[in-house]
Amino acid sequence: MKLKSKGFSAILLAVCILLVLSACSSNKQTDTGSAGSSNANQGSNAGQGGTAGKITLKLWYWNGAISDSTIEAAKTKFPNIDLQAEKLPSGDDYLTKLKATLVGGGDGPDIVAMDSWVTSMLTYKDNFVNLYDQGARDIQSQYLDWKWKMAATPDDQYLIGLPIDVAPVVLYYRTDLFQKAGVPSTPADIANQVKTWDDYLNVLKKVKDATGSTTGNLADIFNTAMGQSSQAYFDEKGSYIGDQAVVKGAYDLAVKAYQAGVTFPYTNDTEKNAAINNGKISSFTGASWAVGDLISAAPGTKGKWNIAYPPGGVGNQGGSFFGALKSTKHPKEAYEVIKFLVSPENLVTAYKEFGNYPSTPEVYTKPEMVNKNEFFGNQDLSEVFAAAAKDVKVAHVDPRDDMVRTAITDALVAVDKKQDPEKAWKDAQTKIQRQLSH
Amino acid sequence: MGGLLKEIYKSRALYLFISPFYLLFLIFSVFPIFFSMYLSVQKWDGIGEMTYVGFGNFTYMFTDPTFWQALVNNIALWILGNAPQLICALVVAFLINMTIVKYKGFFRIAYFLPNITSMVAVVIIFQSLFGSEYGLINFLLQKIGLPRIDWFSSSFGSRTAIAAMIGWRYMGYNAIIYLAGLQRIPRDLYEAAVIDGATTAQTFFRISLPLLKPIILFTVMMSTIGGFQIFTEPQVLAGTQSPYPGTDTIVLYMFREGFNYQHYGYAAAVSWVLFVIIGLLSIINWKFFNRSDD
Repeated sequence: MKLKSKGFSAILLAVCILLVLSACSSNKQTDTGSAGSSNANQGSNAGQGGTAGKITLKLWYWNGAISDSTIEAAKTKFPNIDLQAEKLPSGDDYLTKLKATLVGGGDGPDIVAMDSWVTSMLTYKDNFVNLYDQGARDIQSQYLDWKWKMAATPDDQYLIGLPIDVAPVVLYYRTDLFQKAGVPSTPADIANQVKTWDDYLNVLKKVKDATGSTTGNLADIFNTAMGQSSQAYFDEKGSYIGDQAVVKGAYDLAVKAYQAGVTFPYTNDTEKNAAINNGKISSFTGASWAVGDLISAAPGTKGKWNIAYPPGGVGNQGGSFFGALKSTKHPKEAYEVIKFLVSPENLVTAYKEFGNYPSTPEVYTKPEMVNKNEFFGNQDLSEVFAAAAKDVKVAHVDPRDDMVRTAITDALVAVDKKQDPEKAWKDAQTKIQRQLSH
Repeated sequence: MGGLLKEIYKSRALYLFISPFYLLFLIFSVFPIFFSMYLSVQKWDGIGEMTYVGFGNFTYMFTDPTFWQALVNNIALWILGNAPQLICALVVAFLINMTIVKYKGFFRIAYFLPNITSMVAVVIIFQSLFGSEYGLINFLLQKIGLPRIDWFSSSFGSRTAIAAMIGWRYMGYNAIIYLAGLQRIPRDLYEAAVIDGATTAQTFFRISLPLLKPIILFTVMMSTIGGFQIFTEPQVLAGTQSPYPGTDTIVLYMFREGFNYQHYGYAAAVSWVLFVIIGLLSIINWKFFNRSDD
C-alpha cells in the first residue's frame, strides 16, 4: 500500500514538472502547433526548410502600424510562409520589449515594426539584418528620401528598416471660427497668407478676440517648431546642442504664444478633447495621424474643420518602419514579406483604412488617394498632406532625445504655471547637463 | 548536517513536490534580487557592455535634486494618503462592529469593493473628477459660488487628488482588517464597561484602541510599504515622463531612469535605496509601537 502511494506520488510529480516545463516553453509549442495546423488547412506547399514544410516568420507590430488586411494579403501572397503577426501594446512598452529581445536574443520575432525612434536603433545595427544586402537598393527610389535615410547609417551602407508611413504636420483649424474672426479661412489663403509663425500668432490673436478660442498648449507649438528644424538636441557626433539657437528659438516661440494669451492651458487629453469639442480650441498644428484623434475627440464639431499647409514650413512627427532581426533564420523571406507589406499599393490601403500617410510619393497623385472627409467639410485631405510630406528636413535622432525633450517640456509646463521663462529654461538646462553626466 | 541531508533524502518525494514553487522562486525572485545588486554598481544601457562604476550610481543619486524631490513627494503622499485614511478606517470598522448596526455583510462588501477595482480605471475616473477646466469637482465648486481650483498645477492640489485616490481605494481594505481585529476582542469587556457606565467613546479609546495595537501596527507597516511604492496613480495621471508637480515618486523616478532613459544600473541602485528606506521606516514603526506598549 505504501509502495503504491509512493508510485502514485512519483507520477503526480512527473505531471507537475511537465506542466511547469511546458508553461516555460509554451511559445514553441504553439508555434509548431499552429504551423502544423495551418499547413494542414492550406495543403502542403513545397517547403523551403522547416520541419512542417513551410517556414514560420513572427512579426511584431502595434495597432495602427499597418492595416490588418495588408497582413492577411501577405499571408495569401506567400503561401509557403506561416506569418504570425503579433499585435503588441504601442508606445514605450513596445520599445522596452524590443530592447529586451535584443539583449536576450533567443526566441524573438523575425520582423519588427519600429517607430520614428528607428534612428536610435542604428547604434545596435548589428542586431538587425542589413536590408541593403537583401536588395533594398532596388526599391529605394520609390520612397521619400528623407524618410529612407532615417533607417540608414550616415555612410548609407547599412539599412535596418523599410519605411511604412510618414506623418506630415499640418494646421487643423475651425473654418467657421476663422471666418467669424475675419482671418484667412480657406486652405489656399492660409497657405499663401499665414506663412510664418508670426503670421499664425497674429491670426490667433484675432481669433481669440473674436471668438475666445485658442490654439493647443505651448508644448504643441514647441514640438511642431522642433519638427520643422533640421537640427534637434544632439549633432551627428553626439554632442549636445539642445542649449543652442534652434531649441531656444522653438522654446521662445512657445513662450511668446503663451504670453500672447493664445495657448490653451497644459492639461490632460480628456480636458483638451473637451475643449476641442466645445470650440475652446479652434486650431492646432498636428501630424496626419491626428485626423483620427480629432474625429473621435470632437464629434460635435463635424464638418467645421479644415486642414492647411502649416505655418513655419513642413515637419514630421512619427511614422514607422519594418525591419528584420539578425536572429531570424530566414532573412531573405523576411525581406520579401517586408517589401510586400510596404509596397506602394499596400500603403494606399492602410491610408484608406486609418489614415497612415504613405511614404511613397509616386502614389500621392493617384486618383485612389483622394480622401474626402465629411468631418472636414469634404475637403480632400491628401492634397494638403502631399504638399506637407515633401522636403521635410529630418534632424539627427539620438537615444537621449527623450530625456532632453522631457526636461524642456517640464520647463514649458512650469511657464504655463506662471514661472519665469528664463529661469525655467536655465533650470531645465542644468538638469539636462546633470543627466548627460551620468 | 549529515542527519539533515538524510532527513531530506528520506522525504525526497515531498521535497520534490514543493520544488516547482522554489525553482520558479529562484529564477524569478532570488536571481533578480542578486542580479539587481550586481547591477547597482554597473553602468548599463540594457544592450551594450556593462561598465563597473563602483558607488558612482549612489553618489550621483545622493547629489541629484530630482531624487530628493521625489523622496519628499513620496513622504508627503504617504502621510496625506494614509494618515486620514487609516483613522477613517478605524472609525468605520468600529461603527460596523457596533451591535446596533444591521446588514454588516453589506457594509463589509460595500467598503471593500473599491479595493478590487482596476487601479487604472480608478485613476481615469478621478482624473475627470479633478479636471481643471471641465472637472466635476470644479463644476460643483463653481455652482456654490467658489473659485475653480487648478488641481494639477500645484503640488498641494495634485497630491490631494492622489491622496484621495489612495484613500478611496484602501480605506475599506484597512477597515476590514480592523473589523477582524475588533471581533477578536471579547464581548464581555464591552459589556463590563457598559455596566460600569462607560460611554461609547470611552469604550473605543480604552478598550478597542489598546487591544487593536498589533493590528494597527500591521496596517501602518503595510501602508508604509505601499506608500513608498506609489507608481500607478501619478503614472496614469500624467505619464512617466513629466509627472504633475509634487507627484514624482521614487518608483516613478526609478522607472523613468531605467525604462525611458536606459540607465538600468542606476535604476537598480535607486531600487536598493528604496529598499533600505522602507526597511528603516518599518523598524521605526516597530520600535514606536513596541515602546508605547510598556
